[in-house]
Amino acid sequence: MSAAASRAAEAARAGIRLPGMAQSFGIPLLLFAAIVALLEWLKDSGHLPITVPAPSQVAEAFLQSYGDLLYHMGPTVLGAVLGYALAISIALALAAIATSVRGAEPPIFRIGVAIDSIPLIALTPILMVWVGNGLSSRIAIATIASLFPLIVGSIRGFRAVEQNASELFHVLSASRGQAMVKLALPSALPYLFAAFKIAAPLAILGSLIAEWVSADRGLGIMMVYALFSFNVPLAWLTILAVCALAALAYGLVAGIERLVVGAGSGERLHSDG
Amino acid sequence: MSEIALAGVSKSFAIAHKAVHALAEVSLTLPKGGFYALIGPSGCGKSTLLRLIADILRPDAGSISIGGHPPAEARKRHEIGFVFQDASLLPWRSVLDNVRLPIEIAGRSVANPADPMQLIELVGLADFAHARPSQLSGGMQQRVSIARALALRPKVLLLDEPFGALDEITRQRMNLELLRIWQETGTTAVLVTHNISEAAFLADRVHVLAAHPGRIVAEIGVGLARPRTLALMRTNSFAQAQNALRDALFGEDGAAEEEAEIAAGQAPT
Repeated sequence: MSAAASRAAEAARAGIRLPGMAQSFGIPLLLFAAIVALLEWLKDSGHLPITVPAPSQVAEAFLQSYGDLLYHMGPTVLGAVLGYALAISIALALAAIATSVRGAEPPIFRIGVAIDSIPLIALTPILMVWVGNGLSSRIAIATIASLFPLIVGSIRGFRAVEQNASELFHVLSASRGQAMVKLALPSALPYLFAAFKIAAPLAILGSLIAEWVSADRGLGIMMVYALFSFNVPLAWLTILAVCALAALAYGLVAGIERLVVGAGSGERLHSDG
Repeated sequence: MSEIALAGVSKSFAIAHKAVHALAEVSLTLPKGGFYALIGPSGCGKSTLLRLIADILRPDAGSISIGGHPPAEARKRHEIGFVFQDASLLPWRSVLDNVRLPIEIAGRSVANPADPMQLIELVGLADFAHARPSQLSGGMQQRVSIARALALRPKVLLLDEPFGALDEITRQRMNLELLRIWQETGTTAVLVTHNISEAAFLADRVHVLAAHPGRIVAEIGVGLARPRTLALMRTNSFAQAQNALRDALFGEDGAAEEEAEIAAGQAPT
């Protein structure tokens, strides 16, 4: 390709690509505003069922009860964070066994699949009999809900070291510690963070499920009360709050990933051809 | 700058519960400071041979010595530089940090390591010292990996088909550069290749391997004068050297067993 043609191609690509901020915030915000306006109009003109409130009603519910919302958010988040941390510890330990003990990976994987296929909503009441209905049940369900992707990601990450790279470290006579810090850990991080990102919202949902079944405080029980008292705007408010929490959890982990792993590999500067 | 000697080296692998003889009774001596090529068809064990010298693999039988010491000792003294077929750079490190890696790992156990920046200049990548490997072309990545292999001033430089994945034009350019680097460092170089012209162009002596089991069938001295340039590739003596290699690889077994010496007109004394 000639220099002029490649510059033209570059310009064409740049034209389609939006500036970073507009891309990550502008378009979603615009879409959100459009949906809000549409819902508001549909509700006004009577096209929406009674179970779907107008966005303005939800906003009103927020203004009335944001204090309650914050009060109930605390235990949900605490349960999710602790369950998430516990799930990460278990997953890392299981992955370490799976990748270091010959033949251990298939059974560990199967246990993971079995745990993941448990219907949590049915398990939770039984679990409450065993561990009680306080923080411990939130932690237990959040752990179970987020465990499987963490196991898969950790095993994949621990196996991520390439054969040649490991031979290179051998030729360089690197110590086990050096191989761990300079090779195994950096190789594993992308896979670990992929799993961490998927698992974070799952932990929030796990904590929520525990509260549905029984809790004195928490977003889950607030949701259940709103539903039983047929306070539709409040029910939707709690749903939105959970969505926001899950998205925040994902974003937080993604932010940490950017800090730890760096901003990616960048564009190709040169090619042979 | 170490002599490499192998005596009766055998190695087999268990593949699907069957023993495959990768190498059988291989003996060869590579005097110090020379450039040697191992050439042969796929599966002849030439990469295995290189990995045995580098102490990545252990022989089932026979002995290997580098400068009179076992490979494990040479490896622990950081006397071995290894270049893999794919550059095997760490993608999260810059070019400079990749070249610096062996120095970081060796720590104070190596008295006078090379200056990473000078090595990067030696391989012609001064402008890319802070680039990530993924931003470089395949040829440039391989040059980084050669610079990395030289970071601890190794006494032997082992190259496992380093340019096998590159196009012909880039490969020739890299060959010239490799010769220049080898001459500047004075290290003993062993190159595994399946490219006849590459072997003839680079090496003082080419060892030809055959498969099933992997064994050395011919040892061919390439008496072409140094420094070698691209112009050399047009000469008759270069064509003769290539023909001798081709005969050893494809000729009748009897002819291949004999050691052939190429009497090139301008052979060095």
